[in-house]
Amino acid sequence: MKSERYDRQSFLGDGSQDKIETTTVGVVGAGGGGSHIVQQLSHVGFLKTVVFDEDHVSESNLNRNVGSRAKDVVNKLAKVLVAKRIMRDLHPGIRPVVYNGKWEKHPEALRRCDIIVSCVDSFPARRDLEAEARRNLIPLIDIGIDVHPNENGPPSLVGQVILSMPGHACMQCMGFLSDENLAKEGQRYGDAAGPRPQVVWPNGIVASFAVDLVVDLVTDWTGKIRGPVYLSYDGNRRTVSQNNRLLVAPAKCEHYPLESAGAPIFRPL
Amino acid sequence: MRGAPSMEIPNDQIEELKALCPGAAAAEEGGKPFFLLPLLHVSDAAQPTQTDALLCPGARDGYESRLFFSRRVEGPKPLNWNAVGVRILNREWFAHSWRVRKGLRLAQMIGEHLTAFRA
Amino acid sequence: MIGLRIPAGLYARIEADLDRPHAFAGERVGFLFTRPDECGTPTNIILAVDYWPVPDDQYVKDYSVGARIGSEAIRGAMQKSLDGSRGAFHVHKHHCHGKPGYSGDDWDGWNRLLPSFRKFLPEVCHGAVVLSLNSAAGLVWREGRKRPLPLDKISVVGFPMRIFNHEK
Repeated sequence: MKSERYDRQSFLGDGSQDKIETTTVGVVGAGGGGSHIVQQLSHVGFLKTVVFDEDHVSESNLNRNVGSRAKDVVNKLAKVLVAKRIMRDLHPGIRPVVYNGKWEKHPEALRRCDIIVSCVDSFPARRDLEAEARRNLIPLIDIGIDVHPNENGPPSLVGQVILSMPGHACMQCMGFLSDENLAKEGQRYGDAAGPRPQVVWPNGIVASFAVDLVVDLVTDWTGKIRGPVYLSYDGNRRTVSQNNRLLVAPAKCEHYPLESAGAPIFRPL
Repeated sequence: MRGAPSMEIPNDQIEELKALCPGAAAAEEGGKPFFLLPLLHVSDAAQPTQTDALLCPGARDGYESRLFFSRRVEGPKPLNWNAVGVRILNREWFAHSWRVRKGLRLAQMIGEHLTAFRA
Repeated sequence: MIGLRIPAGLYARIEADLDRPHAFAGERVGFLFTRPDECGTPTNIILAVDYWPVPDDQYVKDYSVGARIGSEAIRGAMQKSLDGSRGAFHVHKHHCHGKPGYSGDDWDGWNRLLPSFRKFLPEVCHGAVVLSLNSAAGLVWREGRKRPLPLDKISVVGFPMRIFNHEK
């Protein structure tokens, strides 16, 4: 299988395909972003992808969830089963591991991942997932897309791709997560503001950058990832560029010291 | 006692907390302090009447402070459990939506959170 | 699958330390301190949080082996293990490429050393890690088991990321 299917990606370096095939990537969220991630990882040859999502396919997902079919809505198919189908269509011999539930219900499965790709849809969810990744010394790549209304013009379509590496700046250090935006979302959900706008193409863009990072972390083919990554997508200008916040982020994480990895230490008062 | 980089907690509040909850312990996650309150007495009108709880004394997700429980607790009033199965410090926690005032001492914070379970 | 994760900065410290020459020992030795991912359950992911190089004056002259450390070094490592309820992993390096093997001297040393650690602090895992020029392998002694288990994966977490995968 290896010799012909992956001929065109031999530029990734000697032994790269072995590394790809034996790396366990956890994908949390199998919706608009996660479905792209699963599809691309499968094409590249990742055989040990683990997928977590508690939701099933609905009509409003069909505008963006890669691999979902009209029949899946009728059958109320779990999104992770769409992911499983994608993976098995490309690799009939494998037994994909998927969890039809929140990752919080399967922490031991998440813990075994070498890299986590976060495709969750809220700031608190990102914070909680990053905390778990940091506790277990797992690099996390977060992606997301948002559409902000503008009073005097078209809405702003924005997104991010963030590599959060244990020991290095976290999403709080980078200013992406803050008490302010966590509070705003808490309020938002409290106000039942309704579904967020979401479309397929920006999901594909940020997902592709995330897969790029996964492949480079695993193979080090560019030799260039030597620090955290924070890319901002501007859908109106059609650009992806480094977010300047990275320039002022601390070199060492201020929120998750490496010494606090592992089971939490509770100090009696 | 230091809480976390962003929060210093005076010793007298810690002593009050110890008196209120024997066995209380402190930990940090994401730069925020948390206090584990083993078998906190919730209320005689609650089911269960006591359970492990986790106090987040600082701002979290739009609340001035939050009190998490190791399981959903039924009380005399219907509550909006809007944090269900969240994972903090390697455990699963549940919290209902309940706003308390700013600037409370730790023991007061707990007391105000628990008013949700009084008849 | 049992995995050990070592932050890249810590791994670089280990490599730099083990590469230093010693006045009489052919190899250097250090101890990696670890924490479990969960308390009270059989741990499958072990997280390295600190490294302690054995001080130069705590080696014993013994030209029949690559390195021999004295009782002071062992006591020092045990104390550091106890101080944070951390597992201790004996670390040294073989100057070869690929997955390092374990010599007879390695086994003799571990069989002398590890039982003491296990008795001293039985509730955490202790073990051994051997580095090579481009890989690493290791063993873990778990509570209740006489024989060690291999570390299926050793991951260096950071920039660059390296995963030494030995899963069958």
